[in-house]
Amino acid sequence: MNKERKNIGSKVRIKVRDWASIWGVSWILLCAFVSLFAYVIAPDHSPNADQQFPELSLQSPGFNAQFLVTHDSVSSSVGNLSQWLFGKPVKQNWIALSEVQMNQSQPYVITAAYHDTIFQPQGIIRNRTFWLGTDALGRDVLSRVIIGTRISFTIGLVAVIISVITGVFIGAIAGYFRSFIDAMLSWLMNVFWSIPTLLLVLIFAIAMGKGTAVVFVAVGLTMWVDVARIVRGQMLSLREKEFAEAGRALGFTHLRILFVHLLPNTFPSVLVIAASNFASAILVESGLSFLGFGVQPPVPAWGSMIESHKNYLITGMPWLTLLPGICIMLMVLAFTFAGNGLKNRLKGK
Amino acid sequence: MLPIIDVKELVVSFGETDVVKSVSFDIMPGETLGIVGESGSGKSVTSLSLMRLLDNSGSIRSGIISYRNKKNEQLIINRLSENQMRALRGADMAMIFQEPMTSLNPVLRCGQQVMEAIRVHNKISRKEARERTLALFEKVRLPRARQIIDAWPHQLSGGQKQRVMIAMAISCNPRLLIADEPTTALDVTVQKEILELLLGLQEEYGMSMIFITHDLGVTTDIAHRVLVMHQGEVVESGKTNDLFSHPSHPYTKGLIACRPPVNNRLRRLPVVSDFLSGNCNILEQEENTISKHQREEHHKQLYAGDPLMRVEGLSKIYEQSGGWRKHKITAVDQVSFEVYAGETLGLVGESGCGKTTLGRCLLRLIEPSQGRIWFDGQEITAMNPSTLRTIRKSMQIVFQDPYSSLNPRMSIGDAISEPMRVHGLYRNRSACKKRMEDLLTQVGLPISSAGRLPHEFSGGQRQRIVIARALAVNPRFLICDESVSALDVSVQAQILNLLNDLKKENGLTYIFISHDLSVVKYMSDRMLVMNRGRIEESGDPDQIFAFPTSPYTSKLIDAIPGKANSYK
Repeated sequence: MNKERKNIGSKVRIKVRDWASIWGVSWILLCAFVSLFAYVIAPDHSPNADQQFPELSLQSPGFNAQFLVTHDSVSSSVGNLSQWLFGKPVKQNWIALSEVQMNQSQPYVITAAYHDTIFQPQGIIRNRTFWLGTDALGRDVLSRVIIGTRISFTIGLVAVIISVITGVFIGAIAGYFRSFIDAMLSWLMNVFWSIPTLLLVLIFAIAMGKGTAVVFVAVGLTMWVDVARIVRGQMLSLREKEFAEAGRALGFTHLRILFVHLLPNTFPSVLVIAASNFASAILVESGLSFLGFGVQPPVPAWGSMIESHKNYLITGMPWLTLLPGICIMLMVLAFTFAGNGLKNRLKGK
Repeated sequence: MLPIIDVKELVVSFGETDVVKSVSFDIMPGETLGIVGESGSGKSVTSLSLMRLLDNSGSIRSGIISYRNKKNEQLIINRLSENQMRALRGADMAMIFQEPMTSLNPVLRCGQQVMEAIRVHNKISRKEARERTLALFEKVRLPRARQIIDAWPHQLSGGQKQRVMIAMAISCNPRLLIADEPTTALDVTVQKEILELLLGLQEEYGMSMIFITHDLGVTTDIAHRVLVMHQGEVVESGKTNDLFSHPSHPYTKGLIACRPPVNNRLRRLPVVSDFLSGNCNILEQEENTISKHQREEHHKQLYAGDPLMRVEGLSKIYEQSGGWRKHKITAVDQVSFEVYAGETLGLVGESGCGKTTLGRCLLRLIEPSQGRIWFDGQEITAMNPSTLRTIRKSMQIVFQDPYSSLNPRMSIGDAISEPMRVHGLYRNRSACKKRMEDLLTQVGLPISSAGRLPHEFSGGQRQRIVIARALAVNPRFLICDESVSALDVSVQAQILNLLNDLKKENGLTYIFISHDLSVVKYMSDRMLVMNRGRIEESGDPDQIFAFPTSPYTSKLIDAIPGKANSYK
């Protein structure tokens, strides 16, 4: 009886673990979707969600405001792909209002900024809700968080692609050929390993100049060491397996044994390290943005959002910092869970 | 007398499948019970459930295991709490495992590990425990006990590690010792010593013992009673001698018969399935044995021609840089011999004698340090890498471990056809595929299995796949390096038959390397006995068995398990 109960327990545990990885994968897919269609989803369609209303800065979530929109030319800009992907510049003039009076004889509005009164306003009066409030420059926080997904997601992707390609190549060669090639490459890995990640990225960023692309490449170039170490270690044990020797006995070339027979056997562990690299790339980028060396304003990135609002954490508006922080946490967690799920799935084979 | 262990209708299952199906047996005090069966027969699972050491996925479904302790109380093992069980393990029941290389903790000194086992169950000081450990080490006849007590596991040989394990197992005077294939990973000579040691200890301590093995021969030397298990059920049990002289179940008959006999030569080894299907009669007839005359005729033909391979003064010296100075290890020392086309040359010796290194040097998988090798008139030792790659089509090797010699991520069809494609043997894909399917049929696997991955096959099937892959390049010469050592005795017979059939069909020449003398004797036309890198003795195996000239060879022959029984 006791045993049986134990068995049921272990089955349930397996299920819980599975659910975690299923959530991880779905969260990643959701993030991928959001970052691709960020400008369609975000309420603020302007590039980098940079429509500023200084008079409406630091408003609470759910804040509702009325605007006088002049020169509306919405109809001219439908179906343009680049607007879909990179947002459309605001051509209208948005004036935040504090009061609207609809007298029959003479309708007038009062602007929020200087309490000027405009009689017979030219344009449309619109209502807009800022679901997550506004930041210090009066920008829509929800839009910036949504578009910030894209930075985090791409940096992970680019960093993983760069690090996996470099790492697998260098690690495989070091592990397979051993001797002095291994000694040299291992030395290189150790040198990279010994430099603190942020410092290394800073060096790259300074050497290559600022800019979003540079950050991507720099983060990628610091992460290959993890991959290379894993692949090298696996290679060292795989090359001693008898199927590698059988390959030589069958007259295969070194390249064939290395790339056709040995390398595919390292893929399970490379996949797992790739998932964890994805997560740490996001963290490194956030750290860089926080320090001001990451992507430059006005591009919205979660790290820089935390940085620019860190002072409001204790002055009654903690959500400005916590929200992007939770986003980072969830995405890193999703990749960790997905990586664990992958590991368990691949271990069975 | 009351039995110390009484198992009644034990059922153990993993998930939904029953691995042990209603097994009952008992063990008297001071008795040795041998449990024999192939891998997967449930013999290890049975013994693990006696100690309640099954991992989480397995559970005892039903049945009763009762144990009579020192105070003559009856304990129901499958109802004890985990704490009560822990007190029993080690003190009342102890276990020795198969793999001496991994069953000792590599970061603790040997003595420490034994002392720990003693101090867990007895309240004594470190000093006392050390004294006891020393006494135990002397009891298990470890040489230089005072040094070994402070040695690290990696400094000991396999046999010595197994002795440390035995010392640990008997440290608390257990009433039952379970030995799970304790000698399978060891050389025959070491195996003999360990068996003798276990017998002596058992008498001295009056323990009961369960001895688990896949090799019936071993049980004849040690067990009082034998239990034969097949697919989770006990098919036969009885006194060892009775069971061997009058086996009643066809499976037992098959197990006894499939070990290569020492006294006569069979054309074909009987396999278990022959007996289970009931057509074993044909195998007992006269025409299955090769007469002396037939053999002489065959040899006259063989040795009339020119040798296919000639080896002259071959040496391999390893330089090891241990500590400050380099020291040299001579693995193969000035070896010269010839291999004639169509023969099987047996190469036998204990582990570490250099036979594997020699086999790999012949293919230049390891670069020889000295000496020359000619194959078919061409000097292999003088070839550059690209001509070497082409000559490798004619020389192939089958390795020991069927689990690591196949790429786990490549389907077996691809694995077999890859060498043909690399060497451009066939014009197009369909010809390649046709040949691959022919090879699969030749080694006795269904064509439909081509798309499957190696992990879906058993050890014996994998070895068939490896053989098919080696044959894919149409070699003339095949080195079998311990190719059947990792297999069960019953599967071994199948593979040996397959190798002989393939040799006949394809006109192959074999070098057959093994530590198992009886297998080498069965397979080979000529035999080389290797010791410490040198050839100790060579000639016709029948001759060597009858009149061994070197003491080393006679020691090897003496150590063959169950030899007395094979001569009956």
